[in-house]
Amino acid sequence: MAGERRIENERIKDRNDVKWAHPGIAEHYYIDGRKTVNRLTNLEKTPEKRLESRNKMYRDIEAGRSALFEDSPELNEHGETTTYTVTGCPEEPETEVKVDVRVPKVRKRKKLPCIFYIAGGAFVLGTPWLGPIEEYSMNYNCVVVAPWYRTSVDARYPAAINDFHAAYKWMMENADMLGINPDKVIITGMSAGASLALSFAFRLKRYGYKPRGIVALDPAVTDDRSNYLSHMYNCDAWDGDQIHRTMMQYFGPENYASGSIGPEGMANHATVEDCRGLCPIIIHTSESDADRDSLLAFISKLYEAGVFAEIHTWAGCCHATLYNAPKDNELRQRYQQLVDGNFKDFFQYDMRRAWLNVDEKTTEMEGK
Amino acid sequence: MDNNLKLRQDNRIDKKWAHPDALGGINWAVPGLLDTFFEMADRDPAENVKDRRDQRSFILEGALANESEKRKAAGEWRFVNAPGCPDEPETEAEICLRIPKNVEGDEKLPCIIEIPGGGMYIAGSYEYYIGMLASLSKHHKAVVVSMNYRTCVEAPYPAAVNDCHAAYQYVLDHAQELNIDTGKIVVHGFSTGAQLALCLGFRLKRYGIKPRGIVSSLPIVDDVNASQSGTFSFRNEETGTIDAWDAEGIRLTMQKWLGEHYGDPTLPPEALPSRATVEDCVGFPPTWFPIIGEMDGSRDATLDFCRTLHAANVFVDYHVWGGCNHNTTDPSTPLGNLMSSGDDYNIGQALKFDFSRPWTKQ
Repeated sequence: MAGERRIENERIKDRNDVKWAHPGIAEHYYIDGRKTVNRLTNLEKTPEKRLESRNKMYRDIEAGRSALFEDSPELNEHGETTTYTVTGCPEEPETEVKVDVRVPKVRKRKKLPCIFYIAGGAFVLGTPWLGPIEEYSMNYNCVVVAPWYRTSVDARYPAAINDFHAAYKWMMENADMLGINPDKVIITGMSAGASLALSFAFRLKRYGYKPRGIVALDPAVTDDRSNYLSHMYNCDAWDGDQIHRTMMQYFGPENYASGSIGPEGMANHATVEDCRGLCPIIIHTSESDADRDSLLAFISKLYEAGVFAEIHTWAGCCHATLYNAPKDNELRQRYQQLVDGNFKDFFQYDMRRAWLNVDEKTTEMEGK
Repeated sequence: MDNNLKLRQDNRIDKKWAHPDALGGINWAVPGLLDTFFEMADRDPAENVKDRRDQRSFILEGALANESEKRKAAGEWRFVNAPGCPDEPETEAEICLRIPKNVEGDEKLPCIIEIPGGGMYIAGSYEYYIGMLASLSKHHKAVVVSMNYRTCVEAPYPAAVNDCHAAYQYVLDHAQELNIDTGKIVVHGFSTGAQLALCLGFRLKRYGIKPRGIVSSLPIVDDVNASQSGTFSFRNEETGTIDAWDAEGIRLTMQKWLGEHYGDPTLPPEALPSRATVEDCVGFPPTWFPIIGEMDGSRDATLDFCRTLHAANVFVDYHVWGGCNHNTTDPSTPLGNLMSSGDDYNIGQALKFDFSRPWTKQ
């Protein structure tokens, strides 16, 4: 793996300069993720070293979370989080998975809708502590199921997908115990969590599960990025270079950017045929996000397959700008309004287009 | 039609395809939506001009007679014959100005150029949107300028673009007297108005003029739409009528508008934005597409146009809404409200911030 990366003249386009930002959000344009990604994907370090470094970050994140509850006791009081350990998925039964479940303390209905939350973190962090699971539970009055998963630092693909599968299967089988309406599950995630949610959709399809929908916030959907302009952008938040490094670790150098990896690895590896019968999908991305163009390619396949799909591309933002901006920022509020609308729509309406279900023979129909 | 000819239309008129909120208000499907077009397309253009003029004055009369006292107090209407644009100076354009009253402060007013929609054959003039013009003016404390443009059943391209250009030129020429800040002119339109807003953007670029922004809702950007969204059909199989604006509607009206140049790849972007190269788009004004429908015939062409704008480093923001066709949704539903508030929100943004990227100019 050693050796300098070669960058040819003007091949990399600047998007780091704040001049590209929407003036209303310029001071929150991005959070620098490059150092973390570089450290945790440095294949010249031993896997143990990388893991140790990552686990230290988990401890820091946990410490940071207690501050969140000190600031908003109301959020803390609203629900309870229980951690379960569940059996592995059919493809890797021996590996147990830890699942955090957030349940509102006061509930008017016996069965609540559910958000299956996949934490983001550049394919190197995979702790639910990174996500707003308490906020989701409070704002949408729902149960939140959030698996801990093996990231690229722990194990290669398909470890993460297997972990989600285990958690999802357990959740569906224990819906009554958890007080969940199994017909009202929305999957969501941010950044790598969104990428993994889209990939996971193909695993779910293979096993006959059909969630209400997926709300994917700033996902990445491809490792092979040579032909997309947006992958040539240089941006410290998350760019083609960081995708290159994390994917190299996630798939291993011999599988990286390989056509032989299917959509359960990277969603944009899907064919239109693969997309047929997927659940509804809503994507939010940004003008200067590395995956903007591959998402446009992916969404076209969803449309050709007849899937209910939405894409929102926010100008003047890069990866995670809107997600990380303070809640009183005007543009963030508009974004939040749309995302809240997406969740409410999926809970309220069934847009799964049942008449498009095809090819039932090949699925193992675990979810039926 | 030849019986051996099998067209592969993807009929989406069944309401099962719709987001439930997209079924209210202006309906998912309006029986015989394009019937008027077929009638007008076969007639002498002069007859259509006359008919539209009669209808327009009737509509305007009704709209002004029913104005509330509150609206009367909020602003003043002016109806002017503006001189023709530089490309066609001898043809005047009928324009309408809504000037807000009692705006506080000494600052110059921003201006919104509102290009009416109507599939390039009906409406297509300010009379049909009097209420909207008044509320736009009130909400943004702006002078709102709209126009009547010659539709495809009256005159072919570039007549409509010339009429829009004439209105814009009038604003520039009378900015001082109207107290307008020429650095704050935003162009907005729905449907055909959204198409003409983009066409006007390219026309103005040729004249070295750059609006503050373009807000283009449900635009038509291409004539042929040789893509998946171009196969969507809203033909009612029982009655045989086209019941919602779809790719077939676009093809028919664009054939009328472009005549022998329909489908011609060498048309300029002033006719069809889909013809723009990256080079054409460098320096294009900041552009928003607050509404693109999943089932709109223009969906794919609009996304392709967005890619071209991206490649030219233009500020561009777009939203494709699932389960929606070209008929806008009912603003009283949560989804309809969210979608339609995008236009106002983006116009407000364009007026508030400077999104131009002067360093991208060549």
